[in-house]
Amino acid sequence: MLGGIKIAPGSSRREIEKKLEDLEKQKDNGLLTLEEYDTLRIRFERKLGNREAVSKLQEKKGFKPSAIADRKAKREELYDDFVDRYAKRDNQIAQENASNSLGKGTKRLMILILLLAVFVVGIGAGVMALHTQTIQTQETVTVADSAFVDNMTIAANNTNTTNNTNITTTKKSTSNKTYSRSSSKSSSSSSSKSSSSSSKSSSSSSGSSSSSGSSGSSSGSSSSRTSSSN
Amino acid sequence: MKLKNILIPIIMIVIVVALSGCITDSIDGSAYQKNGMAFDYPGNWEEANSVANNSMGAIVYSNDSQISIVIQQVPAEFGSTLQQAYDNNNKNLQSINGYTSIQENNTTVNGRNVTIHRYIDVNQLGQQKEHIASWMTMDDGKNYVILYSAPVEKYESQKEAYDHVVSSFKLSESKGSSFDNFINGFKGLI
Repeated sequence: MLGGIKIAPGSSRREIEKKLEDLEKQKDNGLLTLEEYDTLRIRFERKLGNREAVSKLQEKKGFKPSAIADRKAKREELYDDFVDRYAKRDNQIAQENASNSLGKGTKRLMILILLLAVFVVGIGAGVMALHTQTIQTQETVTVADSAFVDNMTIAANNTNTTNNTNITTTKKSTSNKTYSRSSSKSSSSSSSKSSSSSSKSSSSSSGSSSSSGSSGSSSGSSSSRTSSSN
Repeated sequence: MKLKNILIPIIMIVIVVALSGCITDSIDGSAYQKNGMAFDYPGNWEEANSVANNSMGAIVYSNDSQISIVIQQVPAEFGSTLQQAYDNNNKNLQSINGYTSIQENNTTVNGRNVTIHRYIDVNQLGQQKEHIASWMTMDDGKNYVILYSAPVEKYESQKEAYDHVVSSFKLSESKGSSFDNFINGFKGLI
């Protein structure tokens, strides 16, 4: 049909190239019209995979410009858009993540500080309350013991001589360690006079275990107490 | 994950607070800090008022207010030196009825010379009380006495408290501001 050159479907690249050469020769010899030449060449070039050559020949022939370049350009454009869009999205996500993590960290820190502050305030209030309670309790108790004896005390003490005498009597007759001062007790316990010395020694022996190291002198103290009561 | 991050600090705080409560229970003590002096005392004692001469502070046994510890500053009229004041006071003690001296001793507490005097007297209610007085000169150059008093039969029961007070007694600059009270109470808790 087209100058007797046939393109079999299974032709190899070399054969196609040979056929192209034949085609050129046939064109040069005037055996083919330009239109036929272009048509056949387009076919061979397509077979060889030369798309650019095909599109050029087609353009020369008056065909619409090849869509390949357009498609390629469009594809590249789309790809660029795609890449840009994802890059932007990634940036946005990264920014959001960064801001979120900062916000979360701050929130946690705030919660922690708040909790600590609440605990400190609570503990402080508790301590203050305990301290106030202790102060209130202590105000109810008054202590009269004193290490010093001034003249007033001596005078006051001497006015109670009678009472003290009674106490002495009680001490003599009472076998208890308490040395309680009661006239009724003294009369009832007069029979226990003989046991008074033993009871006193027991009270003094309790003093002997004092941590101030008075073990040696405690027995002496008991005797001195006995002698004073006598 | 988020819940874990929030829960862990909260649990940690709760554990710390709970443990501090356990420590408070086990130590059981209090600190006295008033009138420029400070000392520690057992938790079963409490602060009290004192009507004694030159009294600076007092505590009593919570279960028996007849057992007390009083800290007094020695009046100037008793003498300029510790020994002089001690001797003069002893002369006065001997003139009161029911007085019995048990022991006099010199010792050292925290590197400070302390004169200890243990005696019995009879108060105006006729009750026999046993006392132990520790006389010492503090860093301010003044003489102080720490007096433990208890009915004779109860003398030994709380004597440890007295030893505790004497060993921890010291002068302090603060006069008991609210902040000091707060810190004091906090120390007491811990």
